[in-house]
Amino acid sequence: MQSILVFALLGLGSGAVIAAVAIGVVLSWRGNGSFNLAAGASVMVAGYVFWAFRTGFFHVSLDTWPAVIATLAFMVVYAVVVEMLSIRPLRSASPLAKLVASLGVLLLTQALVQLVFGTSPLQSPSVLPDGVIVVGDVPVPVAQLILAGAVALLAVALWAVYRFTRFGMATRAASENEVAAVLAGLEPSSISLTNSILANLTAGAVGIAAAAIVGISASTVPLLIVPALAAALFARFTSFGIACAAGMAIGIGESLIFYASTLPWFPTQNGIAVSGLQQLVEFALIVVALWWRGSSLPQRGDLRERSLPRVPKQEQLARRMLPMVALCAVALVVLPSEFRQAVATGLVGTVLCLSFIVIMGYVGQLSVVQLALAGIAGFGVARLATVYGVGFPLGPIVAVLVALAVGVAVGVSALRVRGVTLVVVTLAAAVAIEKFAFANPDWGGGETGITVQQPTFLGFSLGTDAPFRGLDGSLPSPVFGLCALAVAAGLYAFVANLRRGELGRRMLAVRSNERAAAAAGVNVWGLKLAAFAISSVLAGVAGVLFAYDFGTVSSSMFDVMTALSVVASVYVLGVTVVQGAVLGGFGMAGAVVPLVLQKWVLPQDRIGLYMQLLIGVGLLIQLRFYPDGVLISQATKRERRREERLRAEAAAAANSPVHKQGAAV
Amino acid sequence: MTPVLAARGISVRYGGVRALSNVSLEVPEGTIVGLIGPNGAGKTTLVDALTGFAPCEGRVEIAGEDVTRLKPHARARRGLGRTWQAVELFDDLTVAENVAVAIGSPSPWATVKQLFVKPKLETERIGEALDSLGIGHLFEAMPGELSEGQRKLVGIARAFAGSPRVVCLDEPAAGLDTAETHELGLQLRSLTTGGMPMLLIDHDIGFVFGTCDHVVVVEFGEVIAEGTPHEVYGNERVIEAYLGSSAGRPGDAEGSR
Repeated sequence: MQSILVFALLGLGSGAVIAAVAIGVVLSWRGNGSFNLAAGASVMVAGYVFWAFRTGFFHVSLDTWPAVIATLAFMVVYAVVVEMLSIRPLRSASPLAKLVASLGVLLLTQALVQLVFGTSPLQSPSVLPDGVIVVGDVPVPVAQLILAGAVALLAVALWAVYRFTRFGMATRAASENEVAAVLAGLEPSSISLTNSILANLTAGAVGIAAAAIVGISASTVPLLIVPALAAALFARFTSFGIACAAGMAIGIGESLIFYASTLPWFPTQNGIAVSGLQQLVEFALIVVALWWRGSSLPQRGDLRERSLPRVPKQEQLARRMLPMVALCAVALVVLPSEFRQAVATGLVGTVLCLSFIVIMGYVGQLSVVQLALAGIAGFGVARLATVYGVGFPLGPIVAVLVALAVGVAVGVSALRVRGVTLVVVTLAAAVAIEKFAFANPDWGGGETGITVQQPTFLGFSLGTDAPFRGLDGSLPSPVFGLCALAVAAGLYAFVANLRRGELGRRMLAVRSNERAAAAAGVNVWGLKLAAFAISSVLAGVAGVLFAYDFGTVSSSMFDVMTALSVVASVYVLGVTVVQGAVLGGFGMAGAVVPLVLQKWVLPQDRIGLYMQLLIGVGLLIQLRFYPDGVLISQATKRERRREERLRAEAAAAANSPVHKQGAAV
Repeated sequence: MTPVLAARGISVRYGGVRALSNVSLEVPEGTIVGLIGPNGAGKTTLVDALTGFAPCEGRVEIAGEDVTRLKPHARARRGLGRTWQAVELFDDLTVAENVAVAIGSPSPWATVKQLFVKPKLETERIGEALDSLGIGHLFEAMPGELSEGQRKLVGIARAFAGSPRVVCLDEPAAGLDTAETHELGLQLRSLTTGGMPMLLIDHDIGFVFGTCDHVVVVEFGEVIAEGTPHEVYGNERVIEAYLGSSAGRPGDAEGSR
């Protein structure tokens, strides 16, 4: 019992940080109506900047309190920059666009921080007292208790501000009904900016105080957004108190799971406690919160009408597709080996991105679990071959079916929510799958990864080690690339055709208006599950191809930040058109665009970070100028020109002498 | 004879507010039943309850079958169509595609087949639905290009295109001018001549009285009168509900018959 109390107290530190991030999420939602995926990144930024001021990294070494003030001043500037870059230009954009903008900020911030400060975690000097209090015979750092108390006080203070002040009333009014707020003389932009500054100051203060407790890491701290979103969900994105309490409870729960992992009854593998249970519990909590409160999540009455990106018609499919296929086929044979590899990876990436086109583009459900589903199939095909001796083609089929089952299960857990809320579930699912399954040395690949047996069919090798080696005679063999090309082309046509058929129409109907779709006889839940199923199969196929393409699978190939980068790049290019998937695929790590940039444009090392930086910057620029995506904006212009031409031709025909004569007769 | 649509003792609560209280009505074959009442009387709530969008007590029947526990899409597939007070079109689909969504539910095999070969719209059936309302020329238009009145008509065409047994029309004439409203009334009557029963809600009393065979009046969630338009037209309680006194008649206030 005493141990439980001690671990509960130890969990208060991380719980306080989760609570602070959750409060930041609530502030963002109240202030500007966006799910701020970058709320955890603000904590990270504050930690790094404070460390830099204290250690002289910026060539200025400050004492504790001047460093605290300088860091908080930096956070105000950071908040203003983020507001001007990603929030204010998108006030009239769809919730999806706002969410993706916060994703852009997250990617950009994380990449910048890692490029400036490096990728290794840092240790910051503590600003809180170093003492301990002894519970039983176990010392508990007093800093954790102070931090938890400070966050709780902050929640109370924010509650009081929003309950009793005119600013709080204005924010509540604007978040309830922006139209009515404007008519009452309030200025939503100023309210949004003030809330952003408050959110970042909160994150900054906690980032400084918690740096010594949770460490300074650009890879782990931003992902605190996952448990924080769970806490914010319990708070219905409105209550500071509940967000704070839920955040603390999650932190305590994580600590207790850690404690439980030291007990003899806890499941182990090779003598080591099974990992990832904390993330699994977070996912379960989010699902529970959504089923409990999902249908009552608040909606905002916004000032301007918002819509999802348009879905242009897919016309002249074969004419547009065949030259691309031919070009890829030639490239796979004649190009040097590293470019052949990059083209094959681009084709596999295209298949993965097609899964986003279906679930995000056609149904409007922002799912980030697709890369994790690909990982399940990738690890599945590797494990089936090495452990059970099930090779091609049965192995890939079973692996894809497993990905399908998991994808549909995630879809079922999210049936009560739609659109951007879905990102909370799928993000938590992706993290849980990564930590619980992929990092597991028996089920996944652990840290080192596992080798994948190359496919053979009727004695013919279809893998990267096939005898035919292309013009330069080196590995990888073009055979695998040509197989990937055939699969990618077939699935490209399939997804494009989906848009034109009955099922696609029903998907767009659900995306556009669920009530009207149901009234027209569309089974909305069934259709969402069908979309999840199709999307999961596409992701599963991509995962199998990734496994064969790289020859090994490891958890780092399918991590959440990579998944978020892929989502962002597909959205930048056009999430509702299949061409967006092609460009997104060829921009993925290991594909043609990064290779070209690495060889001739960007520094050789840390290409992944530079690509992430480019995606983040590109995302913010694109959302500013082409909110629907580059390809969609172009397609919309083409459609409008075509319609205008047809109208002009119809008008000319109606006024022609022949027509008039005919009418007279 | 079994009515095509029947509401039996329908009650709806929103929190502590009782929006409908024990409302019953029947829509027989080949009949247009009008539902009128002052603002906030519970007309749209009744349509929501009938079509499955509002949880209710009581019993909803389609051709004698109890559908009270069915979801909205399942009721639609049993032949209960509806339109919306605020036009709810699918903005990403053309007018023709909007209508096509309501035309039947393809078999699983047909759906799979459509994924691999270029599917074709049922242009003839869609064209008929649009032509019947005089909007056949809007076939390829996007909803964003339409006027409010045209959007209303597309919504009605979509409701009728699915070959429903009965249709609930929620303020179909709102946004239409006088001539368009008159034309719509004639079109609805011609559809009824073909046997299609309807439940019609509208604020334009003249339109309702001129179009419907039977009128039900609700106030504060309760039925206060029903009968032929002529019977309802002279009902003192109805006049009081609309004007707050017996000084005038409903048709005088919002349009004459």
